Amino acid sequence: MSKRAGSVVNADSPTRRMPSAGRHAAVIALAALALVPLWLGDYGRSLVTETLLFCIFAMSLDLLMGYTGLISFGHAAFFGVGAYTVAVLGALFGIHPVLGGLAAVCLAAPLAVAIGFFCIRASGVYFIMLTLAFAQLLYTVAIKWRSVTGGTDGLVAPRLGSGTETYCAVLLMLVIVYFGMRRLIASPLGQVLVGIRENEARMRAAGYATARYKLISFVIAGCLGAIAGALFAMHNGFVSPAVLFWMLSGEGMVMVVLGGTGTLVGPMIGTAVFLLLKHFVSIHSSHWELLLGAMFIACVMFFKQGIYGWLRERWLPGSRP
Amino acid sequence: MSLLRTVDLSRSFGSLLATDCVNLAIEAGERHAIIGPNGAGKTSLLNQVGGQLRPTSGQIFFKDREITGLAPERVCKLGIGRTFQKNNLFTRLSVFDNVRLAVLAMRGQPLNAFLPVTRFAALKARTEEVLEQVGLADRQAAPVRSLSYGEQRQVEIAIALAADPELVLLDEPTAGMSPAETAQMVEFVKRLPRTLTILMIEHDMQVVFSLADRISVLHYGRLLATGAPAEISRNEAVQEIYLGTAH
Repeated sequence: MSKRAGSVVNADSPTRRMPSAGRHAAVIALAALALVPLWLGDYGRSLVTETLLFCIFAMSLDLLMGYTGLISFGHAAFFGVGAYTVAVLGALFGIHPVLGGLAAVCLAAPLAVAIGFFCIRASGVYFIMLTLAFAQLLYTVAIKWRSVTGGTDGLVAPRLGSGTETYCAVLLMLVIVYFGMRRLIASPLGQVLVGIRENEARMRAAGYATARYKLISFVIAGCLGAIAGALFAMHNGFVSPAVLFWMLSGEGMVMVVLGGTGTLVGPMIGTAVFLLLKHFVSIHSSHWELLLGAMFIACVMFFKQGIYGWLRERWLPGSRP
Repeated sequence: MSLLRTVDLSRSFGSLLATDCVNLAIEAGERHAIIGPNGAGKTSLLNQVGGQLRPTSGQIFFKDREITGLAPERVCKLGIGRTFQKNNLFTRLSVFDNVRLAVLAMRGQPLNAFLPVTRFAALKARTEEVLEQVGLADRQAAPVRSLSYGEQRQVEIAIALAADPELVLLDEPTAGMSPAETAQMVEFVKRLPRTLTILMIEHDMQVVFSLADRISVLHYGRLLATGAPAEISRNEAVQEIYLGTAH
């Protein structure tokens, strides 16, 4: 954590560095996370594991939404394909989930090329609707192709190992994805994606074949989304068509916006808040979505930078003009 | 051989002919201004050269190579840079990052996803060079949206020049500028090397007459006259439609 944090997010001031207090807090938070399985029971550990894997999902979606400016409403397609690949390969051929996870990425990449090829030709609302349509198409396949997917009954997926092992694997993957994405965003390619988000027409006039870069971003996000889905199957031990449903795509968008688009930490905070609320509020009330909806509206209307942006504004006053 | 040539270039929007059989030839090294009343089709013409707008018919040649209907990124790579009538920038990014993006497209590794962009010394050096050239070196860390309108016009120019173009299209480079900023811009354009060819749209006649070697007059999409500034100011048809002195 020695280098710049969110250098592109803070494009307003490229030289600002993460303050050492924040850096220490991040390291302590990470260390605390690593200790969780020792202290929490099965339920708590499972909840944290799920949160971490959805962090990967939300971050991958944010690469599209927050960094490339592509509002995908069909990101569940890749999560679902990742989950089903692990489950189907395990259930039908007895393939180990780790190999299944590799296969998931190998499948997600060409799938993202194919879906992205059509979607990135559209922009704005048309892009949103096209991504949604492709994801729903896959959802229908999962329901209808009973011999392979088990239809609405779902499919038992091979677990990775004990709860603690799975937790460690997911945490490791999250750390890898986080630092990988940080590298990507600070790289020339990352800067190009931000340029496309800011002003695509100008990028084209400056010599960028933007379609190519948008497709690359779509494929990277798709592969990372598939990793999250594969981890979900290994963690959950069961996969149903819900992993491909538009609701999951929507939840991913809420996680990203709630936490703060265009940052890596934001989607993780958003995911944690979203899932913890979902688990704890839904115990006491069947209307947890009501609270979530209210929070979402508050974020969109009053905290446009999401929870993370709001926190940074409080802790680092004047950091955002 | 002309650097840029349009042959019977036409573009219609419905029944409106924005560009009507325009035959224009821009010589290498020339400063060529396009003038004409509002709605004469000046920006449409520039957009067709820049690839932002597809011609309905006719052809465009750059260095005797046909570029009709090429995408903007292809046109840029061939050596035609441009600025826009309204500032068209990455407003939330810093001045430095704006220019660096333009440099990166032409001589960087835009597909590199592993090394920090700050690691590329040549990229930084060229970006600083361009910023120095347009006089924005001391403003490089500022976000573009915090700049004055005139300074933002300079960033437009910097982005166009960063690509090392042979031809640069300037769409009203002094629009919205204060008189002092306009004078600075004129001085700046005058200082640009003659290896660079300039095709510009400009409303300010003082700017046009102090910069242009030749002037083309557009009226309702048609090319009314092309010639040296002195010829154009004597041209009766031009005076009638444009300078409004023949009434």
